Amino acid sequence: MAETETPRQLPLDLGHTPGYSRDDLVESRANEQAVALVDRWPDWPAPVVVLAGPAGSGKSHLATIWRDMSSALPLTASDIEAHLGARDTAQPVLIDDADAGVLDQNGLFHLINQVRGAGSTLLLTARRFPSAWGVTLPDLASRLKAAATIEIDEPDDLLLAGVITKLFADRQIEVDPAVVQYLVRRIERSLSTAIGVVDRLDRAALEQKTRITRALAAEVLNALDEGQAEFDL
Amino acid sequence: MRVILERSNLLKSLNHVHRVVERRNTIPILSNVLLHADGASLEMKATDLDLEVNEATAANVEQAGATTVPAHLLYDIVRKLPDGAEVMLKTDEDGNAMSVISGRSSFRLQCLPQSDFPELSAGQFTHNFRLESAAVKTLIEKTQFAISTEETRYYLNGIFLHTLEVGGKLKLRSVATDGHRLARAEMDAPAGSEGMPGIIIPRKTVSELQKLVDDPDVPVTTELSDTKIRFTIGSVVLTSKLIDGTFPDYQRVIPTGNDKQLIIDRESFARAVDRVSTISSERGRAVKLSISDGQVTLAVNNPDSGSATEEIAADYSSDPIEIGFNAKYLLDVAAQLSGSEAKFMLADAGSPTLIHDTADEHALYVLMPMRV
Repeated sequence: MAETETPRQLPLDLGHTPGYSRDDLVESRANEQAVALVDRWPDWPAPVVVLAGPAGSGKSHLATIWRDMSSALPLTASDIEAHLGARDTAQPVLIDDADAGVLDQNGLFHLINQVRGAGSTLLLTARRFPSAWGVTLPDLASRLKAAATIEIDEPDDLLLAGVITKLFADRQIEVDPAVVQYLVRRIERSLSTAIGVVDRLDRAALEQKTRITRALAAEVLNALDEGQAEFDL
Repeated sequence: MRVILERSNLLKSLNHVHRVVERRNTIPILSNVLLHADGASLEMKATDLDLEVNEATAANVEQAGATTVPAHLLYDIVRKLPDGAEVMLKTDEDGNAMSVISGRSSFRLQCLPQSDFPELSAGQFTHNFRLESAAVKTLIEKTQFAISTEETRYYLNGIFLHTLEVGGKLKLRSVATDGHRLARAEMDAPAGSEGMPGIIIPRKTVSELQKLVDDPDVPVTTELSDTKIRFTIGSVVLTSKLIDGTFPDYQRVIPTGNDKQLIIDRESFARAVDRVSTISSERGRAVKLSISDGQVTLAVNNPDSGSATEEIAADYSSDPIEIGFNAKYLLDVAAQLSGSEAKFMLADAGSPTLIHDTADEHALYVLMPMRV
């Protein structure tokens, strides 16, 4: 940092609790299929369903809503097989972020067989479609091909605005709709960008002890555009 | 209504009650104090719709009745009457005006009907406990300075009061933060507070309560629910709404691994901070602390006016560290400490610093540094 820079107060990281209930879910054309799928359970097109969508598109939120309604067992993609023996095969299973790390292919293969055999359901969420997961086990690849895949699209303006409002509400901050519109028009149309921008805006407002105004939003967006890592700690 | 009472009694009660009334009101009745004479007492009540204070005082009631008059006006009149005087309050036949008569002075105030006066319905209280005035004072005074005044984060505009178990004992804790610093005070939880909800008491209620607990001999009875709180202090009853929000999980910002310990004389430190910050600009009141073996150097650099440094001896033996703080925040914390020494527990220039009161283990302060 340059010597002449104004000293900056760092804020306490007070955190917030994201709302993961059905009421918190923002619906729009981009995610309507995925929302319908969750709402329709257990009447699913296939016992195994993959929910694919970009980062921050609400996959985990939808998965949490589904887990709460179906009492599904949450498993991690890298560690499936060890949990298969003891579990109640009738209980639905949730695997969030299936393509995030190393996939336990054998485990997943057996799990799918178990789920099909018991007439239960399995929900997987991932950023990419199963064909791009790099599955090397041919039997698993064919099982995944038979799964129903539902895609969440990149957000439209409505979803983006709804999500930004929700992200502020998670932080117990009411924001002028004009500020939300200002952000929607200027940020890259992805939900992960929205999350990043809201986070920085929240920190900047706490740092300066000010309201979240259009001027502050402009300042934060400019800083982001200039690739300034200043707001990161 | 026709009532005669001691000026000192009337003044004392009005003093407690009238402060609740905002100077500017869009609803006329909210500028007024409700006077209700019955039996052998005069009851006074004021509200701003979020907070209500009432108090009854002994009076010679010649004719029972009730009315409302402008609170600040009545207070100012009574304040200017001579000490030891008796005051008569008397409403007109039609109830449109009230006379304040004392000695040779006579005032006529316009009234508003008492039926228009809003009632802050308290509802059912779920918890009830008693605290000594001194305890209430401690819970407030140790934390009040850190309450946020920025309205967007309304859930920080008050003191968070809650119970929790520490080492097998139930404690009552007050916490306030403005996002830059945090203050926490705790004491043994009084009987009756078990299982109480965590509540956020609004800033204005806190400051009114603080003024009411000056008498150390009067216990404070506290009744509360999810949405309301009521304090009874002697003859004064303060009822308030609570802030409808969730206080952040503050424990996450209280560091536990800070290992660089600095012990410094509180007063000379505060004086030095105050001196060097004279040169700082209004916007960035940053003081840089360069802490090394046995010594702290305070430095302020203001590109517009100049710079200042001061050295003070301190007890420090960890690795040298440079860290910046807002001078005002340092002074605020120093003013809270009761011990002659302040104990800082530091990690690095970008992480929260803990400040302990060497004379009071129940108080704790967290301060975020400034990037300098």
